[in-house]
Amino acid sequence: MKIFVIVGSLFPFDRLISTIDAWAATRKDIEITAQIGKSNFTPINLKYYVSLGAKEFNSCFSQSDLIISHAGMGVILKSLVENKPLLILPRRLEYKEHTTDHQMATVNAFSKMHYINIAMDTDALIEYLKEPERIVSRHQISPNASESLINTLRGFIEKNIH
Amino acid sequence: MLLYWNVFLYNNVGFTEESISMVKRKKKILAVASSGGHWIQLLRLRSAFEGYETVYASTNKSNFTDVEHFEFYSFKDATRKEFWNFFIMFFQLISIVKKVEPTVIITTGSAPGLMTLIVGRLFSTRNVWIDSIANVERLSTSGKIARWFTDLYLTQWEDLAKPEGPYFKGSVL
Repeated sequence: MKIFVIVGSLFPFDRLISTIDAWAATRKDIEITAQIGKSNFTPINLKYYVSLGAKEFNSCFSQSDLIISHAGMGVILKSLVENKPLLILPRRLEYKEHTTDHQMATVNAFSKMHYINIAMDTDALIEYLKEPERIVSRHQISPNASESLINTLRGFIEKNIH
Repeated sequence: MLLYWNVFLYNNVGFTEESISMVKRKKKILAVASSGGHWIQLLRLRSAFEGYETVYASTNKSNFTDVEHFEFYSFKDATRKEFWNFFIMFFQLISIVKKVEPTVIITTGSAPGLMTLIVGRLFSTRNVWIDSIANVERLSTSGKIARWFTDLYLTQWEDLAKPEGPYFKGSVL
């Protein structure tokens, strides 16, 4: 099994990286790659990169069986398009992991739609990781935005570009 | 500062040769977003641009791999807290908009997207702001300011729509 851990490039997310690193010590059979961004914690049990180029990122993403990530919209959309099992731990303002608590709002909205697997805290994350093989993709979307949004943009473009 | 600003604009738009090409210019779309989630959302709008000459711009050079057959520009990223980077980004965006001469600018948000719309206004572009789907409970700070620089002002959540805008016309999902 291969797992790809993603935290974005703007801010550290030590809570996720250190939890995964500690868990990785107990599951040497799983190949874990992490893109740690500006995290201050240095993993010892997993392969990690500070950042990956688009090509390397995409190839690591498509080769993995499970994505574990912060609630970044890019990762969520990419997982939904590629029908990839995704487990999310949202960044929290109270731990100074982001400038606002919008990742909580994001996961609340997506949990209502039942599109993704969400761990609200590290305890829930560890619970999920007891059986990582059982984490599944819950929904797939097309590569395009909703028809109504595309049509609205199309109409605006046609009106302004003759 | 103001003097430097005038000189910069004069140097870039004042020449006759340039003016002629302005008249003959092809109609273009400039699609812009910072790297990451905003960029992924922008890519999901591509089918709306089909048939029009489209140029892309983002804050990460390697994003060109997503739009290989299109003209692509990268520019320096900046958050609201980094004043000097913001300044550099502003002038980079002027040079990009000047070169591309878009008729329509479309962005899926963040500070660089807002800045592009503001720069576009100096060149009379028609602007579209689509607030990121990540903003579920309130518009982004950039999104609130964007109201003053847009011709089509959208949110991706119905609950955030207002009669005076932003409007809800669907989402990237």
